[in-house]
Amino acid sequence: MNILIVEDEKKVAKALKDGLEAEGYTTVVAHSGEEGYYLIHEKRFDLVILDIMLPSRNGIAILKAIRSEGIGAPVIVLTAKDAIEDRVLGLDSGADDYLIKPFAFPELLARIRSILRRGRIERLRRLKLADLAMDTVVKKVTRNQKSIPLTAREFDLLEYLMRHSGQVVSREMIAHDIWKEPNRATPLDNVIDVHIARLRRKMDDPFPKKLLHTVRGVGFILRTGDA
Amino acid sequence: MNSFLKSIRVRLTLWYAAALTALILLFSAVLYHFVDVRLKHLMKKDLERDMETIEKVVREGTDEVQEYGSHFPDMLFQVAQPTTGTYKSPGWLHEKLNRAKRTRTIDRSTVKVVIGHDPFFVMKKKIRFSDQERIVEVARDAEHIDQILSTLRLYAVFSIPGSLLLAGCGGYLLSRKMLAPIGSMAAKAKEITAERLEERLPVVNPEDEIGQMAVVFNETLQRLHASFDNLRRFTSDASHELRTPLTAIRSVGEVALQKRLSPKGYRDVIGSMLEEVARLSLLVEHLLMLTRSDNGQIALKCERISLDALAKEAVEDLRVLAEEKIQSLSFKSAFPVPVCIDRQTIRQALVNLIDNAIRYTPKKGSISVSVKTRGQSEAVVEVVDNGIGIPEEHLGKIFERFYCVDRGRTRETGGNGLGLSIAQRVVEGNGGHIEVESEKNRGSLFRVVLPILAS
Repeated sequence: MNILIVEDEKKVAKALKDGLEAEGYTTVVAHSGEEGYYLIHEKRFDLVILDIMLPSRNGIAILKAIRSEGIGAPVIVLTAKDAIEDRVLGLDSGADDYLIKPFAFPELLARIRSILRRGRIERLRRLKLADLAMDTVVKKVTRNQKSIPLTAREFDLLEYLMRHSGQVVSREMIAHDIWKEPNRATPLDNVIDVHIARLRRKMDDPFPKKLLHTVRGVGFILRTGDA
Repeated sequence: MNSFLKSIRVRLTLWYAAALTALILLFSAVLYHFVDVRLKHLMKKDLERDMETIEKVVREGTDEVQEYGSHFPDMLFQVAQPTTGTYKSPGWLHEKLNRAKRTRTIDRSTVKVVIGHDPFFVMKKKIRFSDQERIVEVARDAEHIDQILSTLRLYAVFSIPGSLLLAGCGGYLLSRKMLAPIGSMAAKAKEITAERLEERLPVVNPEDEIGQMAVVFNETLQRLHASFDNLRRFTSDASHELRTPLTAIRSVGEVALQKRLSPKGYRDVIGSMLEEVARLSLLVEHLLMLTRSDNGQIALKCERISLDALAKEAVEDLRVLAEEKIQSLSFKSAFPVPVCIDRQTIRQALVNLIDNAIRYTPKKGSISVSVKTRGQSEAVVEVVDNGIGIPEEHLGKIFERFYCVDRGRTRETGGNGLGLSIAQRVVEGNGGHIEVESEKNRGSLFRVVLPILAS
């Protein structure tokens, strides 16, 4: 998977590059709009991460130009402006998704995965991690063959974590995807923490092997092995 | 010249002088006319009396007329009779009244004649008795009338311009005195800048129009001053709030770099820094939201929803927080309350209020949320708790940005002092308002009032 990162802020560009390469992607970084525009024509990319506020050539202008030239590589736009008009402008110009700075890195990963697997059916009925099993149709969770009763919210939360197992999930992603709260200013972090704690009490505490881990300052991850 | 005419003082004076001129001219004309009429009237009365006397004499006989004429040489008269010819009194002859050329009619019987420079009034009457017609004319010297009238004209010609000049100067000086406060107000207003908003305009007399203007202007300045102060405090509070997590990030990072840590230790340090980053992000998010709502930039949608359903959703989302503190969180609503509001922002306001209620109510306390209507037009969400309450002296200020009743406590509970401000702004943006009642140690009541949707 080849990803082009067009970002003038060097630190952010490097963090994105390192983070994405650690996840197994191949990346190319362009530090200016011109360079990015040139590279898009030079090579074929599976995905472009495009900053809007760029020196010399604005991200929206680049996006419009490449779309009008028929280049269809998926584009995730990064923007510091989250006014609705700006988002609409980005999507109208041909972006596949947008992320508002400052964004959580796990969220970027999730968006990238979602775009790259687009079209492929991913909704498995049965999810499994170690001795934890979930049937998403009859809404049943078992661990070590023992049934674990969960509330609807807890079930949604666990399903979300299981679908992203092995990946860090941020509180923002949970608020957005499970509580359907698009407003980042609404304080749901405490609520999420309580639900995680309860979930953990039910599906992790009675068992010697822990699956649900808190990644301090980032979010949560469901996986075998230690955090 | 043009700018001279633009001055209010000059224009005021000119208008004043023009009005005064018109008034004086009118008054003089009326006076002149009145005196003129009055004098002529008196003259006619005299002439009528003379005529009566002469008529009596004429009826007595021709000789009597002659005798009377020589007896009263000052009487001016002539009697024309067909038989004996015309008798002219000595006075009449003396004044050469027959040579009168220029005559002016005063009324049907009376004319004014001028002999040389002397004016006379002459009255003519036909007397018929014993089948004979006589024409009697009497006259009187009218010089005094002309004298009085000409004196009056003279007075007018000399005194009107003089008094007008005097009045104009007086008006000019007076208006200068009246308008002086405006000059000093303008001078003062020039000195008042954003840095010196505590200054006020001088108020000479708060009762008059200019004084009222100054008072109104001062009130505007007062409000401006208050909002500048708010802005200044907001900026400094915001910087302070931003500085706190920045300091934490910095010191945690610096200390970690000095030590040799295990990978888990480093992960902890980074995690702790990221927690502060999350706090910073939320704060920036809140500040942005407030700024946008101040500028009216938040695009509020009008969605027809049921307020009780929205409130219930918010309550259920936060229920776990109350459960953690063993609080009872109840929800009551009798019937659906339709409203047209921006779902997302009102939801945030309700979450903020309920979250606050849970935060500031101790363990085992109770919080109740109820949705009802008030009157015909208001939808109400009440959030009542029996928590620590708000001391009365703080009640008016709790919606101010970064205002905290107790800063230490706020830090402990994780707020940043913006939740209520945001709630208030968004509710106001949706056409409603928030009411608050509270008693220290008894609890608080927050009431979100929104316009109900007429069905």
